[in-house]
Amino acid sequence: MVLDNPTFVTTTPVIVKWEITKACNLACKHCYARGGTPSKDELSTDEVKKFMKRFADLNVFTLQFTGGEPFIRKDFMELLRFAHELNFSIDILTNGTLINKEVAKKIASLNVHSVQVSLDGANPDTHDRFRGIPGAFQRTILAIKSLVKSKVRVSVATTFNRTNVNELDEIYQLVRDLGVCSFLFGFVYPIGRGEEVHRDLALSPEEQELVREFLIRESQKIKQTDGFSIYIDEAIGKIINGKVRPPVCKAGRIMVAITAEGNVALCPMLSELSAGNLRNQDIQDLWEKSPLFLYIRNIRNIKGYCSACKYLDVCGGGCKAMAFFKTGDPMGSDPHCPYIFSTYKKGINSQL
Amino acid sequence: MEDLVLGKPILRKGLKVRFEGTGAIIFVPQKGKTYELNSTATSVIKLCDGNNTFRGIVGAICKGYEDTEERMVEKDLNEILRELEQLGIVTWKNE
Repeated sequence: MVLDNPTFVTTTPVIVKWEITKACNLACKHCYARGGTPSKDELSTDEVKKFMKRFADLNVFTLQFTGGEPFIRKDFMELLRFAHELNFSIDILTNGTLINKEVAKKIASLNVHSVQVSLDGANPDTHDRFRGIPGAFQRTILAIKSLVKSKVRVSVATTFNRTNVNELDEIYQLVRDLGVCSFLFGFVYPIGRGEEVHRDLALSPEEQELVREFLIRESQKIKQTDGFSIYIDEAIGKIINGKVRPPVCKAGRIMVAITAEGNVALCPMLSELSAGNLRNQDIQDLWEKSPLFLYIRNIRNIKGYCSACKYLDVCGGGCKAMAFFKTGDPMGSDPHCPYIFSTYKKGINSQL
Repeated sequence: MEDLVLGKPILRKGLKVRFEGTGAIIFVPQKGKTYELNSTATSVIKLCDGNNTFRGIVGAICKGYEDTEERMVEKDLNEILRELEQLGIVTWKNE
């Protein structure tokens, strides 16, 4: 009943994922955005506000701010306030290291819907090594505690990889003990800096499957009254009336990404494929007419094994970013499709 | 079932709703999630105004489609409303 139909395209974007800066105070090994130094040509405060207004005119529901590290921007609180005044639902993705008690209180006062904090280890050693800066773990934990205390909805996101997969139980227990609302997980993908470390850090398909199985088992133990959930939709699909439906990529159908320089992309992980720039083109024109958007909305453009899959009309070909980095074409086959794993197990992966 | 038949479904307060073609897209603030609805579910939510009873909605749907078996509509509507309720989109008036 719930649609998530790959051919359903909204007349204007509904979700905007906004990489508000490339600047970052950490040096995470796997960062898809290659966060670190700010771009020379990042959007100014006035430009961001101008484009926010345009998104409000177009009835965009959600702004999701990401980076880099959003809190590095000195004007970030001002931008959040402005977004709040325009009545957007606001989500923030952060490493948490710049959030103290005062910042947490300000976030709470702006009615931010959720703050997603990255945590990649159950102890300082593991987390700091992966995140590239000593002391990051302590500051991240402090941020989570401050946000929870200020009654902000916090999600913790973990990138499972070779250095932390043996801490799966401990990380999960720590997340539960911190009293956050939800837990998200992902893996190291060959995107951005992830391309350089993928060979050494990425988990095998079987190991990824073990992580999923563990978290699915844990999710079944959660009671509705716990106020906690494990976000498994993106990893295995939605469970609706007991049936699993594959995840459907929202990129270019209901969601758009904006880079720090104002480029309009399909999703933050695909920022190198740009439809145009907000500085000289209107978002609505790009949404309606850009060849890139038109191309990825037509599922008949899907190539490879996904084009022959019986689920194509249901899932639309999976993650466009994964397909792009594997095949050079966002409409190539998704190498991380959950359905590949079941096929893999049957020993016919050579056909893929 | 008796409660359901007499109940009056209504959209939860605070939802952001956009009707798009024959479908709809709904943001549920409590969950922070956006759901895409197909044409059937969209027709149903348009009737969830807190005035129509379950039985009234069944009648309205049957009126719109010839050769529709009322019993089948009841069964499908029950399923759809349960799912919409589970997603935080629909509640029942006076609940």
